[in-house]
Amino acid sequence: MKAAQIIFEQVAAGKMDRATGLQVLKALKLQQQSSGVKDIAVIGVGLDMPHANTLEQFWANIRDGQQFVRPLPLDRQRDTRPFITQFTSLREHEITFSQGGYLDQIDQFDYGFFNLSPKEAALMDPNQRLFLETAWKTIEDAGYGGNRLKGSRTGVYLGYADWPVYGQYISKRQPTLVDMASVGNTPSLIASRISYLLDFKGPAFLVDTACSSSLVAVHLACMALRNGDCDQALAGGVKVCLLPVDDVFAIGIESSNARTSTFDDSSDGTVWGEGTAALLLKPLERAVADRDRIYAVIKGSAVNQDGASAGITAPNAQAQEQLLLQAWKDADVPPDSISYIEAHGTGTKLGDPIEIDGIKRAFRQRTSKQQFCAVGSVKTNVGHLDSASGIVGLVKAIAALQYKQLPPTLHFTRPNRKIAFESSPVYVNDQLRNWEGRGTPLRCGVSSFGFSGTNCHVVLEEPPTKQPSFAVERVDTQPKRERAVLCLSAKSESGVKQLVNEYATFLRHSIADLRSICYTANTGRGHYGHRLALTAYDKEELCQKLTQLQQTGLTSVPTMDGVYYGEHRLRNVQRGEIQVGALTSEQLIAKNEQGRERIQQMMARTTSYADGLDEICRLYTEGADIEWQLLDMDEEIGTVSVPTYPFQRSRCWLELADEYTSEHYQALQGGDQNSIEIGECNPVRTDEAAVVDTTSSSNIVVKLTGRDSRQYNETEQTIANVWGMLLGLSEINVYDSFFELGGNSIQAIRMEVELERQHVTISSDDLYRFSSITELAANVIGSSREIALNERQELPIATLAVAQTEAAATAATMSQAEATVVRLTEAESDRTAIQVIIPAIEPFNDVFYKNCFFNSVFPVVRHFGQDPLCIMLNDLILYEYDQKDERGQQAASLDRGYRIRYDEQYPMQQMFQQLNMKVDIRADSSNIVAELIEAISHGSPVVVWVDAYYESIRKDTFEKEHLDHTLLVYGYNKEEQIFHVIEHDRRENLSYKSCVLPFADLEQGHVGFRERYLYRGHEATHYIFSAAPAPLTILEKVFRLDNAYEALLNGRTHLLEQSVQALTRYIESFRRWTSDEEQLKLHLEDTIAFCNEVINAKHVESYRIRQLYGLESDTLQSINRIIKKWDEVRKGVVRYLYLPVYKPEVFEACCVRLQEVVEEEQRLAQLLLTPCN
Amino acid sequence: MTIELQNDLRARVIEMLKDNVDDSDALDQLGPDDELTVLGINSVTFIKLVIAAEMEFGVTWKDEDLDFRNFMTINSIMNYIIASDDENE
Repeated sequence: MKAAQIIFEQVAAGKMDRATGLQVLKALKLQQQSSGVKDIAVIGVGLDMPHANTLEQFWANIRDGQQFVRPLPLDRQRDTRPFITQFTSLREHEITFSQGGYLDQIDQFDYGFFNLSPKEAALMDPNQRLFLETAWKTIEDAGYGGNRLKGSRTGVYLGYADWPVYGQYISKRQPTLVDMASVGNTPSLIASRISYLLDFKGPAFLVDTACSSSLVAVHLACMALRNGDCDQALAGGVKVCLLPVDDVFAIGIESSNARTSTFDDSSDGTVWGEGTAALLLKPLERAVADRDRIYAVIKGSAVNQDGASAGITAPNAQAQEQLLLQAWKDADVPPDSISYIEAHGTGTKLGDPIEIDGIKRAFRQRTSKQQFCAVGSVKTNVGHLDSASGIVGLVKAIAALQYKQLPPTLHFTRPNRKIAFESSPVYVNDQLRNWEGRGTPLRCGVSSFGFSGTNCHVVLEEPPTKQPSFAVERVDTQPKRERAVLCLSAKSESGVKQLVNEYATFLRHSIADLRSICYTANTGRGHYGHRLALTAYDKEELCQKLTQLQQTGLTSVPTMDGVYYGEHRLRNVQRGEIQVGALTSEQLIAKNEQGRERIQQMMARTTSYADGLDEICRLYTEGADIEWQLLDMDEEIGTVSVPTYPFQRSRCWLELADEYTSEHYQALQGGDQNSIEIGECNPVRTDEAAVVDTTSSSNIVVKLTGRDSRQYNETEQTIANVWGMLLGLSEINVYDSFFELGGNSIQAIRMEVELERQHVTISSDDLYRFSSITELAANVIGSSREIALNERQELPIATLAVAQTEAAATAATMSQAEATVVRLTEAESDRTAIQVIIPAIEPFNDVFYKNCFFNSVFPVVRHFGQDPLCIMLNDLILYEYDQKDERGQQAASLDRGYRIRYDEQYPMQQMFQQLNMKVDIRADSSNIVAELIEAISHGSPVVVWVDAYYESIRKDTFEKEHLDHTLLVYGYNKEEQIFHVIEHDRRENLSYKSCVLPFADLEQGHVGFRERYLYRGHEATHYIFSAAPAPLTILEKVFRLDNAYEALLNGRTHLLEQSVQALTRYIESFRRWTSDEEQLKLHLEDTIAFCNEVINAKHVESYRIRQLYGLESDTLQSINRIIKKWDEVRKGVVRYLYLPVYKPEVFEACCVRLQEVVEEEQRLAQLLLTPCN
Repeated sequence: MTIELQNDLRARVIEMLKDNVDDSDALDQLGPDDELTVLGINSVTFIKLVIAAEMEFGVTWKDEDLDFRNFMTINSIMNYIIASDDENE
C-alpha cells in the first residue's frame, strides 16, 4: 500500500503532523471500502464483422438468423495466393480455398487518418490495420473520441493468436523492406499502436490462449480495472485468414459441410471466420457518474485450465464446471437467475457434449431446475473466429441484453444424441424469443474455451434499469428554446460528405434526444481540417438541412441558414505564399480566445444566444477549438450512440501480390521450360527470351496538387517524386506536411540522400522546419540560387554542341527505314517528360562480381528492394583445369587450361524471376536513345552493352581501346541530351559512380558494340528491368540465406573436390613455370592474370561469407587467409614483371603459400558444409 | 625529420608517382591525403610503385609485409618509407 507508506514516511520525517496523517489514512481506508470496484460497465462497442460494421447491423443479422459462411471472394483469392504458394507446399493449381465467414475486404484502410504513408500501411499486417480502425471506432462509440482519452490511464487488452504470415512474407520476398515493415508486423504492436496514437498510459498487450484469447483479454481488462491498473480499458480481438486453404492448416475440428451446426446431431466440426470487435470498459460507478452510455455490465468472470485432460487440445468437462462455478461466485449472482449462455459451441463431436456436460454439472451444484437456461452459439452465424471468437460471442450477448431478445442459433434440426437436453438445465434456443427477466435483471454467461486448454467465462447483466433520460427523445415542453449545433468533421471533404449521408439516415432512426446526439458528436469526436456546423431547433429541421446538403453538396452551404463549412490547415511557417484556410498558430490561438469569450458572453447572457451560436460556428469552421461541453452543462444530457469517424479507405496491400494472376503462373511455367541464361558468357537471343510485358511498370512521376494556379516548379516536382517514392504516394498536395503523410525521421534522412542524387541539396533537419513541398522547395531554391547560377556557367557548352553534331551525323548514316522509326519514336517520346531520374539507384561498389554486367545489374536489384547477395549466392566458385584447352594448345602455352569457374545453380533468368524482377532482353535497336527514354520514363532502368571506346567518361578506353562493356542507364534529360548512368572510369575498379553521358556517346557506343561484338559472343544489347509479380516456389531454398551454402553445395560437393584437384595440379604447373627464368618469362602474363582472377573471385567469396556469417566467423577468417596467401603469390610474380631480377627463393616461397592455400581451401569447404558455423 | 627533408621526400614521391601512373596530369590536382586509386593504381600497379619506391629510396620490403593500404595516399607512402628507413637503420 503505497499511500500509507508515503504517509508514514512523511510523518516520520516530520513533514506531516501525526494527526493529519491519521486522518488521511482513515479517509483512504474508507474510500477503498466504498470504491471496491467489482462491476464493470461496457460503455463502447466497435466491430467489423462480415456484413456489419456497427452493433446495430450485427444484431440485425444475428436476430434474422443470417449466416455468413461462403467461398472466399475472388479479390481475396488473388491477394492470398502468393501467401499460400510461399508458405505451403501447394502449387497454384492445387489450391482449394476453404469456405469461411469471410470479410469482404481486408486490404482497405484509411492510412492518411492515422498519419501513415501508403507504403508503410501496405506493409502493415491487415490484423493491425483492422484492429486499429475498430479500436478507434470503439472509443468514439463510447463518446471519448478526439483527445478525450489522450494521456489517460487506458489499458489495451487484445486477444490475438496467429502466425505472422504477412510479415514473414515480406521478410522472405522483400527483405530490404523489413525495416519499414517491422513495426506493422510485430504482433504486440497491434495492441499498442492505439496506445501510441492516443498517448495511453495503461498496460497494452496481447493475450494468446488460442481460441479463448479475446475473452481472456476481457477478463484481464476487468481485473486490471478492479485493481486500479488503469481507469478504462479497451479489450478486443482480431482475426483474418491469410492462408484459407483446405487441409493444410486444419487442426482436426473442421466441419465437413462448411456449416457450424452447434448442438445438432449431424454436426462434425466448425468453420473458420473473420472479423474484429472491441469493447471500452470502465468501472460501473464511474460510468454512471460520467453519464456514459452503458451497454451491459460485466458482473464477474473466471479463467482456468483443463490441466491434464484426455489430450492437450481436448476439452475437460470438470474444468468447465469449475470455471462456471468460479465465475458465478465472482459475479455474486444466483446461478438460476442466468437465463442464457452463449456457448463456445464449436460444433465438434467431442466439444459440444462436453460443454453441455460441464454446464449441467455446474448448475446441478446450485439448482435442480430443468431447461430454464437457453444456449446458443454465434459460431453458427459467423463461424469460429479463433482468437477473436470469445469477444464475438460476448458482443452477441451484449446486443441481446440491449434488445432484450434471444436470437436463434442456426443449423439446429435434431439435437445431438449424445446430449440429454431434456434432463439438463439448458435448451437450445433455435428461434427468436423475447427475453424476460424472472424478477431479476437479465443475466447471461459467455464461454470461450481454448485449444490451449485455457478456458474463460464471463457473466453479464443488463444495464441498470433506470434509463437515463437522454437516451430517449424528450418531448419539449418549451418548443423552440434554442438551436442545437451539430459539428461534423473529417480529414477530407469526402469524409464530411460521408458523415452527412450517415447522419441523414441515422437521425431518422435514432430515438435519442437531439441535444444528447449533438453533445456526443461535438464532444466525443475529434475535430479535423474539414468542418461542417449545422444548427437546428429540432431533429426534423436538422434532417432537412442534411438532406439538402446530400442533394446539392457542400457548395450550397453559403446559401443555407445556420449552416457553416470551412477547411483549414495549420501552418507553422508561411513563406510568402498565402493559402486559403491556412492558419498560423498565432491566428489559431486568437480564434480560440474569441470562441471562449463568446461562450462566456452567451452563458452570462451579455450577448444573445443566437448571435453567439452563429459566431462560434463560424469560428469553429475556420479552425478554432471550441469547448462545446460548456454549451451543454445541462444534467439531462449524456452520451448516446452516433456515427463514428468516416474512414476514407483505399487499398493497402503488398504490391507483389497485386499482379499475381494465373496467367502469370502460366507465363512463368513457360519461362521455366525455356530457362535462359543471360550475362556475358551465356547471352540470349531475343526470340528465345521470355519477354514479359512492361506495361505495368509504375509511373514514377508524382502528381502535384494544392495550388490554384496548378503551376509547380521543377524543384517541387523533383522533391515530390522522391517523396512519393519513399512514402508510396502518387499524388501529393504541395502544402501537406511530410510527417502528417506518414514520413518519419528515418525517411527524412533517406529524403536527404535521394534528393542529393537528384542534385537537390537539403538537410534532413530542414524537413522539420519546412515540412511541405512548397516550403522545402522555396528553401532549396533560395539557398541554392547562386550555386545553381555558377553551375550553369560551368556547363561545357562546347561539348554539348559536339555531341549534338555527332548525333546528327549518326542519324544521317541510318537507313531510310530506321529514320522512319526515329520519327515515330520521337513523336512518341514527346509524351515523355523532359527529365526523368529513377530514384533509389545507388552504385554497387562492395565487390566486383564476375563481370561488369552484374555490377550494372546490382543497383537495379537493390532498386527493386532485393539483395544482390541472392544472385551472388547462385554460383559455386571453383578452380578449374580444362584439359581440352590444354590439348589444343599443347606445349605453346600450357597454363591456358586454368581458370576460375562460376558454376551457376539456376539460370540467371530464373534468378531474376525469383527476385520479382522482369527483364526484357533485346538485341539490336534502331533507336537506342528513344528506347531508353521510353523505358526510363516508365521507371524501368536499362543495362546497355556498349563499346567503351566511345565513352568519353572512361579514362582507360576512350579513343584508346575497344572494350565490350555495360552501363546502367537510369535517367535522362532531353534538353541537355544526357543520360544519367552508373559507370566506373576504368575496368574492374570499384569506383562506380553516378555520371552523365551524352546521348551521342551512348548511341555511338551502342552502334560500336553492335558492329564489333553482337553475335560474336554476345547475343543481346540491352536489358530493360521492371518489377514482376510474385513468382512461384521453385527456387525458394536459394533465398533462405541462413542455409544458402548448404543449398549451393547440396549434391555438388564433388565439384569442390575437383576444384581442389585443379588447384593441386596448378601448383605443379606453377612450380615448373617458375623453375627457371625462361619459363617464367613465357608464363608471366598468364600467371598474373590467373592470380588476378583468383583473387577477385575470392573477394566475392569473402564478401558473401561476411554477409552471411559476419565479421567474427571462422569462415570469414579462413577465406581471408586464402586471399592473403594468393596476394603474396601475386606480389612475388608481379615484382618480376616490374623488376626482372630472377630470385628462385621468391617462387619457392610462393609454392609454399600455394600449398597452404590447398589446406585452407579444404578447411573452408568443411566449414561451409557445416551448417550454422 | 625536418620540414625541408619532408618537403624533399614529398617531391621525390610525387616524381616517382609521375613516372608510374597512367594519368600524370591528374597527380598535380591530388592532395597528400587523396586516394591514389583515382590515378588508376590497383593491386598490380601497386607492386610497380613498391619497386619504384624501393629503387628510389633504397629500402626493401618483404612481399608478405606489403599492404596495399599503405600505398593509398601520398602521405601514407611517405610514412611507409620513413618507417622502413628507421627500421633499416
